Amino acid sequence: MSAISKSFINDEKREKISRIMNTDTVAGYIFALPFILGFLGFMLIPMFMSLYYSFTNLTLGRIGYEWIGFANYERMWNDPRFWNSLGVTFRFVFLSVPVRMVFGLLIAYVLTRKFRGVHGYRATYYLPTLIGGSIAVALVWGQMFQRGGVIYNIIEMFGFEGIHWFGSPTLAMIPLIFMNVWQFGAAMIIFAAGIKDIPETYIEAAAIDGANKLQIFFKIILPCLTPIILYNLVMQTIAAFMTFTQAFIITGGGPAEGTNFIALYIYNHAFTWRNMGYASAMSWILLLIVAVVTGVILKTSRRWTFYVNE
Amino acid sequence: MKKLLKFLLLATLCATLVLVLTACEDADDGITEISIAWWGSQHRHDITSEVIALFMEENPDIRVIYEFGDGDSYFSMLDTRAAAGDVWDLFQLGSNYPVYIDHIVPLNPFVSDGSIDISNTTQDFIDITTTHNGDIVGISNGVNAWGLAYDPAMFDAAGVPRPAPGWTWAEFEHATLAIAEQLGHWGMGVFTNDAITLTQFMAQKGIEFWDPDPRQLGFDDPSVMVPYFRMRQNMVLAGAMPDPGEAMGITDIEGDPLVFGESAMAYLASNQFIALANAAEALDPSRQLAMTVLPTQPGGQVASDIVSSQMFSLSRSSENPEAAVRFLNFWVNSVEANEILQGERGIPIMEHVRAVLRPQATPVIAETYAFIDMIGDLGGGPATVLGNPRQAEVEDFLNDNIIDRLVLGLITPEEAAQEVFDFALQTVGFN
Repeated sequence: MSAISKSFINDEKREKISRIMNTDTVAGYIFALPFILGFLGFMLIPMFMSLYYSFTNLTLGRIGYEWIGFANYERMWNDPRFWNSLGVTFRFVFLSVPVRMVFGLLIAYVLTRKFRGVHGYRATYYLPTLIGGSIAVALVWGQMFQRGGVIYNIIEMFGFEGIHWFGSPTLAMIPLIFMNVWQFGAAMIIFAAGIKDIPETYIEAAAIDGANKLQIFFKIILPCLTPIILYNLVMQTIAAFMTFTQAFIITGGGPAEGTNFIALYIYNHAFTWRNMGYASAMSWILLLIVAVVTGVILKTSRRWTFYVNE
Repeated sequence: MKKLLKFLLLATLCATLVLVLTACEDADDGITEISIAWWGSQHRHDITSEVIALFMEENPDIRVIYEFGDGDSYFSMLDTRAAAGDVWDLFQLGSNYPVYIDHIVPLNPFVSDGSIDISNTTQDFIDITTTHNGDIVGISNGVNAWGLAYDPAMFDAAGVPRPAPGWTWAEFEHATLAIAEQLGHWGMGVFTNDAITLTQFMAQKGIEFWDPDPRQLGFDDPSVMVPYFRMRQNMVLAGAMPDPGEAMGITDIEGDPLVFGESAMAYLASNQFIALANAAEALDPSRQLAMTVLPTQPGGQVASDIVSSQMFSLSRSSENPEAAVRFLNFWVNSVEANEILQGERGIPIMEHVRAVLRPQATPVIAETYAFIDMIGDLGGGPATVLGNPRQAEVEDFLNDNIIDRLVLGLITPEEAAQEVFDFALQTVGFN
């Protein structure tokens, strides 16, 4: 008797489990589990730990740390190097993002027109983005602009005096901006998709009304593309704020901290000088700044974006 | 599907169990295990593992496991381990040891009970790795001294007298400018780290940059730095030294302009001279470089100090300090081991080791021995080791900000001195 009832309970239990396991949400969670674990372990938990550490004097290599309240944030306020790196980063963002977007848009426009071999060109223009922000590329760019490098020698070949790009705090930014602009591929692809999405009828109608190519571009294509421009602007701005590799590899932040981007300055505090607490505090301020800038872009976007379907 | 899942789970479980069990088994075979780590070049890894193999052969009751890397990866490994409280039993440290002082066990008891035999060296050599509290934080792996390598032929060609021991900074500046003017080359390459040069410049006046109290500086008048900054600015603005853009291309000792005949002098540590001279000779066998002491103040103290290039320290998390100390003693005292090492980490501090190695030295290595002797003859004893946990931060500000702006003519030497002083004082305040 008892054996029968036991097996009965077991059966019921098993059924219950299998019912839970067979619901769509559970299956979904199980499939998403690797991501969820990674997101918790490598993103969310470390993020909030860094928020906690930003209120401590945690120093790598030293045992123990203390709660020091807002001292790290106060230190930032009085740290001229922090303000300088913020200024440098803003300058980089304001110079490199628009140039990169304009470049990506123009190339995308040219490559969406129908001519022989357009696919080959599209792939070729995307190549620099594939090799991306890698260290090897940064090393090559550094070599090209250095004393005795290709760019330096070409300028000398035309009879001018070679420019010491990395010898001046203002000039040193230029090769870094070039390198950033050169990797316009991701923006280009998205622009190209956007351009192809514009209804052909608009352009034909404009052409029949006598609009020339330039007018079509500025009056039809550009307005229709504004949602895409918004998306690219936000993504590129965020990426530019976090620029690190170029400065780390090519200039080391120099000369005279002219390219000491905030990401590099945070890295140095965290891992070179081991001030983990202070670096955490700066990271959170950077997060705040990027959030505010993105917020401003999104807020103002209502005035200049145009949605075809509305 | 279910079966496959069950099977996978079981397999994972078994694998974990097996791993755990073998890990436990390991510790119980009567052999003591110690770990050791260092940074350096491939050549250093090869000879160091050779010495470790030799040690294990002579001491079958100890197993040494080791890890190594280049400077950057070594310190990221060390930082990770330090954060976890699991540092290798013996780990290599340089002058940045104050950062890791929490993890170091002083060796004093092992020295006094004879576990580490220091009878073949002098108190001076022990002092270079001893803190002002009297704690021996490590036994030096070898000594070197900062100095200048130069090309005598270039001095002769420019009609400038060759540097002699006791020459002054004024003579150095004059030679640099004259060589640049006569030969169209730089007179001087780069100072690897202006903070070190500046500290030496000040020490010759009897002024310490750092203070035993980590929250203080060793001086209170910024103007002592002004003559150094003025000289530095002069030389770059006159084209006798690379400007920041040109200096950026010079990243290692084998790429120093002296190697290519583009400058007449290079600033280096004596153990770097071997790599520099070999690189120059490989390009042009006729070139013969020499080493000399740093310039000094008129009538001032001796210019170059003998320093420990690096050491092995005993970690607080070590479970077998006796075994680790036995290795350390073997490392510094075994003639056989040091014949393999050949002073690659600096000139050994043990007299009996030096006596064996010196006759085996190549001409280039012999020059470094002669250089250390020259300093010894000048009476330049080991300096007190003063550092600060925030040293790297201050040095970075001085090298990458102040010096750049100074030599680009953006600030005056007086402003540079004031800014360095203010920044250093503020930074040590965070200790």
